[in-house]
Amino acid sequence: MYEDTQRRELLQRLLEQSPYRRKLRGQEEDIARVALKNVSVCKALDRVLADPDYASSGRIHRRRLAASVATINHLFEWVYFASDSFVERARRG
Amino acid sequence: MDDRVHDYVVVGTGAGGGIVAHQLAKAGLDVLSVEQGKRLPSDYFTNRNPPGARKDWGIRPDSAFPGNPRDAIFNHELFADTETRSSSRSAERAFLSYQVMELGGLQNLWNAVSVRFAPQDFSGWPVGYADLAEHYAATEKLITVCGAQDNIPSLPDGCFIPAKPLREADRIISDAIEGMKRPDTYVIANRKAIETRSDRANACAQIGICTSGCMVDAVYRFPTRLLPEIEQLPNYRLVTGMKAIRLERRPGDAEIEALICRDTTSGEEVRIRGRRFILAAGAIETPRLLFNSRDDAAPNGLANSSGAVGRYLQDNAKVALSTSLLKLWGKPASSDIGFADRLLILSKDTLTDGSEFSFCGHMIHTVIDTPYYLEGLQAVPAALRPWLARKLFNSYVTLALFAPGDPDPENRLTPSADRDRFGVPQVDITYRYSARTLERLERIERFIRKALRRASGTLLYGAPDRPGTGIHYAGTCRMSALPQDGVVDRNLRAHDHPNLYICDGSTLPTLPDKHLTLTIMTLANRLAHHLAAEAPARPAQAVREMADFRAQ
Repeated sequence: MYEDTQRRELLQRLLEQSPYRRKLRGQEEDIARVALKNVSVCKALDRVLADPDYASSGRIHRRRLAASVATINHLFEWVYFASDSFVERARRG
Repeated sequence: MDDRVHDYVVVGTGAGGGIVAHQLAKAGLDVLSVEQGKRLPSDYFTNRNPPGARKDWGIRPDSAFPGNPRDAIFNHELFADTETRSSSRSAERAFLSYQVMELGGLQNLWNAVSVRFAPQDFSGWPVGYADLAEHYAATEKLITVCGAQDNIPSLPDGCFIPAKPLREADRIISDAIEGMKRPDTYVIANRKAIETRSDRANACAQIGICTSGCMVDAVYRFPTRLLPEIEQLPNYRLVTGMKAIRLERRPGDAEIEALICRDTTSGEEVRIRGRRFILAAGAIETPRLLFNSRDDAAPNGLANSSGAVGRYLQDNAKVALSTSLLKLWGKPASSDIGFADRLLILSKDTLTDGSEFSFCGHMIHTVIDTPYYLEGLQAVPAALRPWLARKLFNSYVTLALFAPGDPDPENRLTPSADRDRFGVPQVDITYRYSARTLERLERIERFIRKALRRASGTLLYGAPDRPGTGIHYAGTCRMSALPQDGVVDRNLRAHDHPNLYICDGSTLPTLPDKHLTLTIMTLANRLAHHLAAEAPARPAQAVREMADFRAQ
C-alpha cells in the first residue's frame, strides 16, 4: 500500500511519457483525482512502485511492468477520447 | 412546517408523484408534495458542455483498465452516491441501483421512452388494459408523447404528437432488421415524451443526449411542465429538502397519522400530519420507508402483513452492442446529434423449453460521449487511433434491447445495518439472474449481432449487462387482488392501511419487455381520479377543470 503522493508522482511521470500528454495538458489534477479513486489504476501504480528497479533507481522496467504501464496508458487514452474537445472535433468530421 | 393536517401528502416528485400531485391539485384538493432533494437551477443542464455531462469521464472506482469502463453512461453527477441513496454499499455487488434524489427524481435524466403495455402484459394483475386505456390517453396528452399510429397488436397506439424524422443510420438499421423477415418483428418510430412540434418554445433542438438531461426542457419533467401549473394554487404546496424517514400511526390503529421527515438543512425532525398518504418514492426507496416504519404491531414494517414488501424486485435486463457501420464511412457528420434513439424495435424469440418471450428496445445513433469503441481500436497503432476514431465517429450505432423482468420473490430488498448520511437505515439487495433470463439475454444478443452484421456492422463491441442498469425497477410493493399476495390493491391502496397509497414502479406485479414509466404515470393518473371521485365536494371551478381534462 503506497501513499497517494507517491502514486501521484508516478502518474504524472507516466503522463509526461504518454502520447496523449499534450492533449491532456491542464487536466492533470482531475486525472489524478479520478485515477487515485480507481481500484485497477491504483493496483497498477502500486505494482510499479513495488518493483525493485523502480524503488532503487526510479527506472521503469518496460517489459516486466508492461501490463501495469498499459493499464495506466489506457486510462489516459480513455480520458482523451472522452473529452469534450475530442468529441467536438470528431463531430465536425 | 406548520401543524396543518393535509388532505393528501405525496412523497416524491418523480414519474408517479408528479402526476398524482398535479391531478389532485388541479381537482382543487389540498396537496402537499414532500421532496428530499432540491429544485435544480433553471440553467443546470444548459451549463453542461454538450454533448454529455458525464462525471469523471464516466470512470467509476470499479471501472476496469485495460478495456472500457462499461457503465460509463451511468456515471452522472446527479446519481445518488452510497451516502445518499436508498441501498447499502454492499448492495451494489448484486444490483446497481440508480436514483436521482432531487426534485423530479429519475426523470431529470430519463430517456423519455413512453410506451403502453399491451393487454397481455397485464396477465396476473388485478387491473387490466381496459381499466387504464383512458388514463393512458390522458397521460400521453399531459406529457406530450411523440410517435406514429403503427397498429401493432403487442404495442397499442396512443395519442401522439409527430415523431422525429428518421436519419440515414435509422434507415440502414431498419432495412437490416426488416430483411431478417422474422415474425412479430417491428421497427417503428420511437415514442418519447418529448416536445417535437417546432413551433413550441421548448421544442427539441437535437443538441444533446436525452439521458444527460435536456437543455431546452423538451423532455417531460414534473418541475418544468406540471409544477408551474399548480405551484401558485392556494391548495398546493411543495416542500423540498425534506427527507421522509418513516410513517407513524396511532397504536392499535390501521390508519397512518403522520410522516416523519428530516430537514436536510437543519437536521431537525419534522412531523407532517395528513389524512391520506401517497408514497411515490420509487421501487427501492418506498419499501425502505415501509421497513423503517415498523412498530410493535408491524415488526416487519408497515403494509407488510403479506411479507411481500421488498420482494419480487425486477428490472429489465438488457443487451447493448455497438458497431461502426461501413455504410456510413465517409459520410459527412450529421448536425442532428440529439434525440439519439429514433427507432423502437420489437421482436420475439423462443427458449429451449418452448416458451416465447418478447423483447423491445432502441437503436442509438448520435454523438458519443464515452468512447466505448476504444477496445475495438486496440489493434490499430496508437499514433493512428485518434485519426481513425475521428473518421469513424459518426458511423457508430448501438442496439440496446430489453428482456422482460422475472418475478422471483427471492430477488428482494431487506433492511440493512448501514445508514445513509442522514442516519436513516438503508436496504440491502439480493438479486440473481435466473437461467431463463440468461437464456433470454443470449437470444437477444444473437438477434442484435445478426441485425448489425446485416446493416454492415464492422467490429462489434459488447456492453455486458450488470443487474440494475435497466433502471426500470419494479415489483417491490406489488399489486394483488388478495391481501396475502401483495401490498396494494387494484386502486393502489395498501391492503393493511386504508389511508395509505403507493404510486410508483414498486406496485407493478410483473414487468414486460416494455419501458414501464408511462404505465407508472398512467396508474398515477388513475389513482388521482379515483381519489378525487371519493373526495368530499370541492370548488365548482376545480370540478369543471377535471371534467374538461377527462373529456380531452
